[in-house]
Amino acid sequence: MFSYENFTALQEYYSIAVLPVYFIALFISWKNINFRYLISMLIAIELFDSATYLHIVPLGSVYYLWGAFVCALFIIPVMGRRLIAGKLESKFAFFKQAKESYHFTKQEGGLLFLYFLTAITFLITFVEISLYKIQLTSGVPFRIHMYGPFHTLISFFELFLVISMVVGNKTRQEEGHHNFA
Amino acid sequence: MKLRIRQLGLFNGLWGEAAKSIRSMRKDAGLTQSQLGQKLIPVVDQATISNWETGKTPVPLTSYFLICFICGFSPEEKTKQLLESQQPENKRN
Repeated sequence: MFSYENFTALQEYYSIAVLPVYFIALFISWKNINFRYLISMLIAIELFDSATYLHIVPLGSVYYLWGAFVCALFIIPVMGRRLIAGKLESKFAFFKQAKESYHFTKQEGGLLFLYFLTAITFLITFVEISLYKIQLTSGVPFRIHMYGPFHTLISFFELFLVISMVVGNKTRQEEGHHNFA
Repeated sequence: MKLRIRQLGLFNGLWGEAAKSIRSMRKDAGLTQSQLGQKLIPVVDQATISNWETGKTPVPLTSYFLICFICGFSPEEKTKQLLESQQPENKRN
């Protein structure tokens, strides 16, 4: 059950499932402008990543550097979306409302940690492959044995955090309504 | 030169946001400043967490992501209460 081949197959399923789950989360949390803003940004970056994937893979080990760069692209909007909203609030009312209703949830912190971990795995893989190419090492054990399972688990936790963030908030909102009833 | 100043401004802005996010995450996770400090590696005191949250001292990168991990994967308040309510029953058994 926990063989490397099963983990690699799972990774493909999770990598395909990320965008649909983001769209479902966006639909569920549409009324909450804070989550709408966050998940829209995540979807935009995920689409950018998917669009550039096929162009970067043929470049070989540069793919792993690009992967680390995309992780930074995910981290910056999650951490700095209030600053971005502040810059754009004079032009669009949506960003003014987003800045006013800004709240950094603990699940976003979990997402930041996962993006950071993903960037580290990309950098480790890049270094390992670079050393292998210049024949300083004889193999790429991290890339072969750890890279796939790591990314599968990270994708799983990422989806779990996004879903728990929107569902938890929805439950809290409903409880708030019931308390006032 | 101007680009470098703007880059530093962006960096300082993001680190200010990181400081504010620590307080928000900690409250969401239901932890006090001293409880959070005890969970970090290396352990820090309540005053250090307070300085990080107010931006008086910059939070180290590894400590920040460790805080993200601790708060991000902490159980919901209901789950904590459920676990605590079950503990006396387990002791009786």
